[in-house]
Amino acid sequence: MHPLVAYRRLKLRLAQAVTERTRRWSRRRHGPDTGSISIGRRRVYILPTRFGLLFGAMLVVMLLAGLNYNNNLVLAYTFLLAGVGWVSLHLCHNNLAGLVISPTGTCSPHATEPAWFGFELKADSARHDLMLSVEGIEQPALSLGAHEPLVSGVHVPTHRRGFVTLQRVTIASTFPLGLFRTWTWLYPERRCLVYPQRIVGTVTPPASLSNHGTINTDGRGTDETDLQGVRPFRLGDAPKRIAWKIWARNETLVTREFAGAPTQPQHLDLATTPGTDLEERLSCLSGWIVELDARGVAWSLQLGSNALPLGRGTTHRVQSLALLATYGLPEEQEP
Amino acid sequence: MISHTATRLLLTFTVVAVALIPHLAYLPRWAILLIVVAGLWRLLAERRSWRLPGLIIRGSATLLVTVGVLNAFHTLNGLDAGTALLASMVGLKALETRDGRDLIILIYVGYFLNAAALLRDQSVTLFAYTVLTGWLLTATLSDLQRRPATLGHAAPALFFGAALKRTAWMWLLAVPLALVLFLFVPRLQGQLWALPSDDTHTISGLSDDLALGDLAGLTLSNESAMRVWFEGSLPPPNARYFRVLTLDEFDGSHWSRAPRRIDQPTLQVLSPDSPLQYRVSLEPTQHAWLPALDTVTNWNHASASRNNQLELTQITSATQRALPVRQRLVYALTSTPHSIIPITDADADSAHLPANAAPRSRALAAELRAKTHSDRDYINRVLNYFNKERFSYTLESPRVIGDPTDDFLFNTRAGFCEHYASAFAVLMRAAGLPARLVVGYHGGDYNRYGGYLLVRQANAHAWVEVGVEGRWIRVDPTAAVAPERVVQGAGDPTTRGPIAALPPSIAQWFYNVRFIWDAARTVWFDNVVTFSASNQQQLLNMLGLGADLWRGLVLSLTIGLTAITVVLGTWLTVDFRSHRDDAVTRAWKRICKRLNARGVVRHRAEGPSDYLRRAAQMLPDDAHALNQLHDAYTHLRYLSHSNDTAKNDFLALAKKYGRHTSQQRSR
Repeated sequence: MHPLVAYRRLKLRLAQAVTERTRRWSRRRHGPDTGSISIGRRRVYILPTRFGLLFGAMLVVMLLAGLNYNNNLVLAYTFLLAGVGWVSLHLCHNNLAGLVISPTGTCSPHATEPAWFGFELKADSARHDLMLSVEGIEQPALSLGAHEPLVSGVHVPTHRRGFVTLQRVTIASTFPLGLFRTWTWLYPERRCLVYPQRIVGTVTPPASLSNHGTINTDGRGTDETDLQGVRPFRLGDAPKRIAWKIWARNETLVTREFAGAPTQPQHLDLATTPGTDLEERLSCLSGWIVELDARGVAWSLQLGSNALPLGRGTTHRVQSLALLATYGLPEEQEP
Repeated sequence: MISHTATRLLLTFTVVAVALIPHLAYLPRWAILLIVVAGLWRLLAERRSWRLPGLIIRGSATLLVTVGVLNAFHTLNGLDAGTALLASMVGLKALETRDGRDLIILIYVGYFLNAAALLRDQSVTLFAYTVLTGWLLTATLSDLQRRPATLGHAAPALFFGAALKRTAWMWLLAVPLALVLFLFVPRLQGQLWALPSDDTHTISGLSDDLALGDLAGLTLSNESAMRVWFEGSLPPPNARYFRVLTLDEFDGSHWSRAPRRIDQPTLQVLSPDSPLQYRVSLEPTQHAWLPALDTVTNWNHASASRNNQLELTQITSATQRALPVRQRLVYALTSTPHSIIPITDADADSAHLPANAAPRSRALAAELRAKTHSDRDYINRVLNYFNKERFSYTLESPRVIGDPTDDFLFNTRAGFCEHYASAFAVLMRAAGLPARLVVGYHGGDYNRYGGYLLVRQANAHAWVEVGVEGRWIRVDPTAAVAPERVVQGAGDPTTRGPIAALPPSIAQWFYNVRFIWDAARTVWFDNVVTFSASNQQQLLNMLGLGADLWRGLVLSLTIGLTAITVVLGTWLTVDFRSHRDDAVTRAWKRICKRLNARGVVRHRAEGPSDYLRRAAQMLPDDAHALNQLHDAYTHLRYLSHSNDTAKNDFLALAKKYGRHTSQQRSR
């Protein structure tokens, strides 16, 4: 192995080990963060950034020049800059301390799509350029005014169905000069259900569906060709079916209705769903449910011994998908 | 529409250009051109999405710039070469600026440029300029921290304004810490390393040898040469002769110094009871000579040569080396006017004239000498000759034809102090008397605001010392021709320079303003620029920590920094992000307080809307006003589209209601 590569790997491993240890230490120190969290001064950490160190080095050079040439004005200028750096340390620390973070909702995704955990941030003084990140993935920066709460959230990547846990959220800021980075770690202990990945359009639908015309899970062809008309938006209509072009024109929500779409209730059963293994079959069901829901068709679901009666609408969809998400998972994963 | 990156580029380039301004006069033209072109090119490249130059172009440009600086300054070391290199690198850096990091580096270079400017000039004006520039740089640095995709508040257009305001506060809050550091950080004695000095800049002032006509140009300069504080009263104008150089070698047209000899002057103090004690603050001259009044009897930091000429010297174990005055220098002296510098054997050459010099003058000298019976009588006769014959005093001396002395005495008969002094000294030597030219300053303007005598380059003067009766006496032949020149120095200062064109009263006013400004600069210089270990010692003595300088400084630093960290740090963490409510909340609380005072107490679970409705019922007189308030408040607080108009409406109503209730109470 090239020595440089070896060195880099060693450095990376060392850095990871140090970070991991600090995080475990901070975890023990903070304990789990449930409910609304006020970030106390004790858990706000601060260190100079690379540019902060460079700033310090610059001050040292100026100091030596000033002392060497007995130039009091260079010294005065250097000391003023040092004072500015010191004030920036306090402002940076203050930007985080006293921030109150409360959990809001979560947004369940299908596997491989990111899960979303909502937070409400508020403080009694203005905050600037806060960066929330999870596992190194930065979210857009946030600024909030005094007494003006802001709801934002973090995206967490998902890989499989089941529960995804929000491990650790980092809130950081380099405000105001980028000389220091202040941060804190949150352990919100929140989890979010991840639905099975959707399989779109690749699997042939079950016979019961075929009888009433094809479900083209791709959706587009049917949408374009069999469009019958529009009706006013009702709660529970899928976003896919909303006529966004009309909304863009006159801001009224209307839902598109299609001819030829199956309107009779469908009976979905895991046992009759195609697929090579359980995951594939669950994915297939997941895709159908989303599609049926988008078309406003009622369905019932049979998952082994678990069954859901006929129904439609958002609640029914969420229930069905949740059942798919947790099917066959060990008990401790249950909510 | 200018993109975010373009705005940041433009902002950073502008602010760094502001930091470059003090260096412009010292930069080679090509460096300035490089910076301007590079900056504009980069801005245009951003707009047109051009590709930035690659490694090869940048590498060769860096090499070219280095060669260019070497070519211009013959070194890379030194203040001028260093700043030229730094400034050119600004241009190159501008070319390759890709992201925020490069811009931050540019800002840091800007800080360095500021400090470098202060190495060159320590005036209060420049310091103020660098602090302002430093503030702008910091504001830009703060602005660069802004993330492009910031959600929430902080409207981008107003952001630089916010950064300016915030960083202004930061600079203000930095002052106490900077002050403690400034006062107590130990100063070094001597230098750790020395940059090769830049002797390329000519500083106007006296020079080592004197050709006729040299001083005339200097006399037009309004630059200050030195400032002198006297203990007690100011010496009379005819005693304000500051000797700088004694020139005792004459080759027929030039006066120059005899080879320097390190020997102590032998002085005879005639009446030691009237010594003049004074302190001189000398502007940089690039020479080692120190101006002093006749006759210096006590000095430090310096050595005096045989002819009572002071030089700043660096005394090491074996040698004494003349030390040029490169920065403003303050030294204290004692002079005793009534003392004698005796003529010694070493002065034997002082009566020497080159064999072929000034034949007509020699003849004149012989003629005058024949009529006199004593040396003093001869001196008076020569002065009389200058006075009676038609000599005129002018700064525009005609061109010399032939022997300079003869030409002046018999042909042009017009000249400046050095012409008279030189001719006089030649006439003395022709008669066998030792004589030498003295160059220095005469006169000066008293600055009553600063309590010092301000001597300008315009006060440069030349006179003669003649050896009579075993001692040197001072003779000023210019006085015989233009007595007012001797009494007033170089004339009324209000009639010099550009202000001479103004009406006298306004000129006088300008003159006073200039004096006040000069006094202020002097205070700045005395208290800030020259603040040193000895000032720190005095300060520590005042604080009662003066026993050991280093211990005292470390102790004061520790105490001072701790105090600031505790006091200011606590204030910063607790109060700076104040818990003050916004204007609407304050107004609302005032309304609640007034209603409370009138008996309508708000229940714990009562919302603002219910409370105001109930108050309107309970106080029928105010019902209308309270209902209006109710509508405005709910509109402002609970409607998502509320804006500044709603806020102002509510505040106006609240104010009106406040006035209304206080009127009722007074009734």
